[in-house]
Amino acid sequence: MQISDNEKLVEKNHSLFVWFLLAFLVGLGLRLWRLSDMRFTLAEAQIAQGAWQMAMGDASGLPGNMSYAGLSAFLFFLFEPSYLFARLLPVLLGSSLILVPWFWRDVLGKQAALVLAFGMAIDPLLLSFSRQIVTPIFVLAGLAWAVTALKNKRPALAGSMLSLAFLGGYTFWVVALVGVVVFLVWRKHGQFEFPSNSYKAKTFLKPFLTSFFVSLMLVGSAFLLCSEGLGGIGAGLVELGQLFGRKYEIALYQPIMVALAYSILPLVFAVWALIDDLRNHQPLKNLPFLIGWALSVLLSMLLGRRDLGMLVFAAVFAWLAAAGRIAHILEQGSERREVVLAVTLFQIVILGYIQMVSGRLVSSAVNSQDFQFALFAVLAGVLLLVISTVLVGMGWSRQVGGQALQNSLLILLIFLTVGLSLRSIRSQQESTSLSLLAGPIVLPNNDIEEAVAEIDREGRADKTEISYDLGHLEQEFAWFFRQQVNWKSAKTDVQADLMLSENETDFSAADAYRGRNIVLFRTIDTNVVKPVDFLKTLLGEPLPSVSQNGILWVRLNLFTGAN
Amino acid sequence: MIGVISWYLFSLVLAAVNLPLAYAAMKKLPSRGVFLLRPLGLLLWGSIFWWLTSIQLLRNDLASQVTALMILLAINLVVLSKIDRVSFFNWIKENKNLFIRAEIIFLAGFVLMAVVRATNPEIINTEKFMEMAFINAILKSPGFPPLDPWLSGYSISYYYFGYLLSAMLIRITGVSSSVGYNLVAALWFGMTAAGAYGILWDLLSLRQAGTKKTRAVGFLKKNKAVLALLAPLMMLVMGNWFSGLDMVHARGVLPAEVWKGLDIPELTKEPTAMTIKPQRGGWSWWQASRVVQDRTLDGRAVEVIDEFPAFTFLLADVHPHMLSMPLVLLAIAEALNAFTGGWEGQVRLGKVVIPASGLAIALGVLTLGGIGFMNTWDFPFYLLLMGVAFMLYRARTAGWTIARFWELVGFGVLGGVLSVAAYLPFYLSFSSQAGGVIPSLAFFTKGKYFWIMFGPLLLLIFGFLVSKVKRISKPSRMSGLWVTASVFLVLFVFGWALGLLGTQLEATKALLLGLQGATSAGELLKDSLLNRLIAPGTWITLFLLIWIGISLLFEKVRAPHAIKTNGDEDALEQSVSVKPMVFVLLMVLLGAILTLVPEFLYLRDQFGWRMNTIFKFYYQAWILWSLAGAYGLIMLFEPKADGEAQDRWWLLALIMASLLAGGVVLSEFGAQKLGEFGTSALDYLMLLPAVIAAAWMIAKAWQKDWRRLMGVVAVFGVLVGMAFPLIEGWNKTNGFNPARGFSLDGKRDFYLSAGDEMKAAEWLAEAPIGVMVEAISDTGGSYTTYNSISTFSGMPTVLGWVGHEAQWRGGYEEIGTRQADVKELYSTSNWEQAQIIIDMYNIRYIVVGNTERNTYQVDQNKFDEHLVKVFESPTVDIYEVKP
Repeated sequence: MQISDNEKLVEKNHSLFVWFLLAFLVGLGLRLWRLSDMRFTLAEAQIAQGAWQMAMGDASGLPGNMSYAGLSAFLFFLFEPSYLFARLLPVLLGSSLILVPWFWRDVLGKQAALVLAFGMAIDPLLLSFSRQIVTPIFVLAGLAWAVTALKNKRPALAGSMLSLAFLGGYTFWVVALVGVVVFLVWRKHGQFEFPSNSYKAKTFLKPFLTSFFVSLMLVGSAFLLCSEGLGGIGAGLVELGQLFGRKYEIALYQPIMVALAYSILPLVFAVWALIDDLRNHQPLKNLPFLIGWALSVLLSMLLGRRDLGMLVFAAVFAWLAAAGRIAHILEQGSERREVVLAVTLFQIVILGYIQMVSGRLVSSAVNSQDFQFALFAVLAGVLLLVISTVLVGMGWSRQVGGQALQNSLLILLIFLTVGLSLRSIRSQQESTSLSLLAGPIVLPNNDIEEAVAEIDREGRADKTEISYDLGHLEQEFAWFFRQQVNWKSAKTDVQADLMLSENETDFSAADAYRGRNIVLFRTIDTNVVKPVDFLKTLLGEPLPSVSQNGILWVRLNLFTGAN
Repeated sequence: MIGVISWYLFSLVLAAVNLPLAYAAMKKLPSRGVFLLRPLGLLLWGSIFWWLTSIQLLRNDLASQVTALMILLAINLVVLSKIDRVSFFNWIKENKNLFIRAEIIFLAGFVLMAVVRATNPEIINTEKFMEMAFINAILKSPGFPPLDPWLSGYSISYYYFGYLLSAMLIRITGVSSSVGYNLVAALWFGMTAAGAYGILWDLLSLRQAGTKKTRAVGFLKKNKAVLALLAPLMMLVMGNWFSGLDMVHARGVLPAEVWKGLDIPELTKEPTAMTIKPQRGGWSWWQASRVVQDRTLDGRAVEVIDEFPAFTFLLADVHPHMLSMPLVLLAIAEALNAFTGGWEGQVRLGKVVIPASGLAIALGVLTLGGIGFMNTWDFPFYLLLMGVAFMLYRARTAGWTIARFWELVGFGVLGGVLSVAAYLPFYLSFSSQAGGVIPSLAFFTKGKYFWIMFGPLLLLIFGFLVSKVKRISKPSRMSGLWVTASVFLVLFVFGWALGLLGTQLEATKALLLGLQGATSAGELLKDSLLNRLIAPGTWITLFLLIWIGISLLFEKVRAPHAIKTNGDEDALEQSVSVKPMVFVLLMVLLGAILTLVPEFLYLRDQFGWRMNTIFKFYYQAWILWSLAGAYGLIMLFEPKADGEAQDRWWLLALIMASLLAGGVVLSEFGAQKLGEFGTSALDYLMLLPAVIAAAWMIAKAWQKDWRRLMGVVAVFGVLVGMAFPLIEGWNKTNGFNPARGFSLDGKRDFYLSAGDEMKAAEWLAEAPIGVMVEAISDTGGSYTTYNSISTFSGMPTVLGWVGHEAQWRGGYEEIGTRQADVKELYSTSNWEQAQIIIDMYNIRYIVVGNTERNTYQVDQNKFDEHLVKVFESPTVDIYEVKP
């Protein structure tokens, strides 16, 4: 029986979709891993608290990211508030991004789309921000799906996805601002052509706008659980405005270092492709994406004053820029496959060696003997790498040498990237990774009542970590929680008899607190992570785990004169 | 400075957002409402936010305000999608000068008033505390209606829309409320100046488009942009004639008998020193707002307020009459738009066809409703103006039939109902202090006071009207006479009949006689009439004004019908064209009615006399007459024919002489003690403007140019009115040399005198909402600094200014025993007793500071023992009651 071309195509598409599905499952699995054990950053706890209040019909703590708050509030209402449900929606949306390239395979090319899907599945930045609550992943996913729906003429879906992005916080407005600028520049230079008049047609606009506004209303009001939540529609814009009045809480170099370290794999191949195109006088296909990456990093430096969330856009741009080249590496055949394989393996060993000794190099004092040995070792490794590539080029061909080097680099960087991703979700590294990307952490435990009872009974606690269970947050604590933002400015007033914070009193379990209002507060030491740590990260080293990165937070204000 | 910039920029955004709507709705105004974009934006933004928060779709917070702004933007985008965008953008390109001019006028007014406020920014005295308390309470309230800061458990019972808009601006620009308070005065001054300018500019543009006199067209084309400045000048800068008289009095020019006859308190006293500039010191600027003197039949003086805008902005209480001014101007502009045909269109409601565009109706309803919500008194006046303006347009295009009358009635009823419905939640939570109408028998405004109050404007208007008298035909004159006489007669009969009825009913007899100082009905009715006949100045003035005004109106609006029947098509075309003068006459007549009605009737409030009625009615008359007067002055000097004598050199000389005299007044010579009048060269220098004006008048009389002669008289009247801003503006700002430097922070002085209280207020402003308690003055505390912590925090206290609360709620029922209970709470040593009071009012925060210690015998131990101290400072502690 003869199989028609059409059937072949369907079969091929099916097998391709299986690969996309695999990428999606990998991404979803990584994102769901130990999700309910994850700790809250301070900012996360606040927004989760806002969602929980919305679920109870109270809109007093509306965050900037109304997509999260509205949808999570509904989730809390349907089920119950928990750490898992508090993080579920970012995970689902972040995972959904992996499927977007499937709909763009005709534009990107099938292999490149698949590379992009896997890249987004394992990317450490996208992975980390898909597991967080304070995240621009809603904006990214909303926009990505909205554009995809527009491409596929699905106005209702496009409208609702756009509303999701619209409600996703200040990043939407940053992206919109950049979009408007780009649009105006394009228009001024006469390069802008609206893809089709059909987008202006009423048959398209009506369902698009209806779906946009209905989604806005539903999500903004947490599916009518909290009508006042509609006020949060403007919260993202407010957040953007307030951003400019906020001081920089992270060093300016951090976004660059993190972007380089976490996107090293796509960046290396994107730049390689760019250089090749320049050398061969080819059109610079991935230049716009690299500009997008640079712009995202720049905006993250300027606007991401408390977190590095804007870098998710940079990560996507980096993968877009690199996908074609990586796909090309994977696709290309070779006359001397066995030689390429052997040389690749040899070079991987050398690269592994360089990585190991580089760790020693950056951790040694510059004038020490150890440093000199490590430096020589690194130089020897690099020399070996160059010689092996040149010799292979001379012995067989330059193409074989180049292929081997690309392969070995790709494999090594995949390992490093996956390693970064996996480490970021391991319990030991989690808090460090989170605090680096998104600010102070609130340590979770569910024994607040026990701790309070103990202090009430003994006058002291035997714990140094006390926090709350989201579902059982008492009004007393909830109130303080909303005030937390203003904590530092309010510190001079007598809210508490004793305040433990980073520069004041060390907290000890032996301290007696009976009869006093106590606020236990400890902020992260932002000076702990230094530029050199990022260099180590580039080499696969984990970021330093610092014990005081955790925040101990609770207000014990229960002793109102009793006793 | 950052506050000033942020307020300007945000108001600019608000203005820009509303451009499509203004363009579409004000389609027949030459300016398309560009000068009123800010008030329009504030009105719509505030209405959207207030409505959606009232029905709990939004919260009273920043994000919701931004959401409301987005909704407003969306509405404007919808409007933009419906209009001809090419024409719209072309119009913007062609009229960019208009935008620049609007911004310059606004900015000049805004910055000028910001500087004036920065010289004396303190939020203290008069009713500034009350206004600050309202603004902070609105900022603090979780939803609407906002919580009453001075009566816990209740919402504000006052027309608070202006305070809501102020609070919204404060919140969105991020300035502190004590700075925002002063910026409100500045922003409103700028908006009013731009609005007044815009309306006069529109009137002059309509005149330019409507006249066939080429000289007039050229004159207006060339000078319109400068001449329109007269509107803000006369509305906002010029004062009444009190300060001019004050100067004459201070210099000892006239004998004491004259001043006694005038019977104005500060002027009956001997001058403190023989100086050019009055040296009374202190609140010398206050007396200009107390010119009108009312006395009961038994001779008791009762207070009457006769504020005018220049005084209002100098005092800078952000009171509803100030806050409503930009909206009032928006209503006048909308009325002018209706008059010129800008409402053209149809709305079909089943079988009923309303002959006006839906957008214009909606905007009119929102504006009128907004005025009602902001300063309820003004609402009916502008409903009437809008209705009559629309009726005149209908008459011009559809002819005079009885249908016009029914349309006017329909407009009044429907417009009134819709305007109330547009802000219904406010009326549901509002208990008005107005308690009906009282016949004004003993109280009336003597002519001398009326002319001191309105002199500068009356001269302008009379000059303008009289210059047109010879054009009035006999039928129009006679009709005008009958109508005027009827109006007077109806009001007189109604007032006296009400008086007679009131004195016959047992329920009202004592009240009426007591209020007006009579012992019997006969005495009240008879003596009141006799007193008026002895001093008929106001009656005569208003009679003449209304008579001429109505006659001219009849002449203008009757003509089409008469011409139509004659078949003269050219004349018909001319007659149906838009005549701005008709609209000016409407403003003159409405102002006249506003000043005439309180001669016979006034609204009953807690005071019982005409104080607030005169205040509110005269204030609107000033606004209307200043616009009409400015237009009239320009018309008096408008060239009619080639070869006409030019007066620019006269005018220049007069201005130079006035500036010289003004300089002398403000210089050290102004305070120099002089001998008898005429013994100093300075006296002659001061007389120079009068001499030039007199010479100018003689020249005009010689040329038999009676029109301009009246113009010169009017200009001189305006110059006398300028004495108020000159002298009192200088006094209030200490010559723009404030002792403690420039600042816009209204709490500046409190930080020195009551720093701990201010810190406590700041703490409470950030604390979760709950009822607080602080000391209440034994005498009620009105106009004092009692209740400073609730005022500056916005936290609702158990009871604040007692007299004001009673006034807002029309009695003491809600106040109950609060005053005594608070005293007991602080004084008692019995915790159980204190606990009962705490529970009764659901108190969360108890303030113990110097005010409490000075007011009560405070037993603080009980609070120390049983409550948690959540705020502590050297002199002020705050305790929190835990559940």
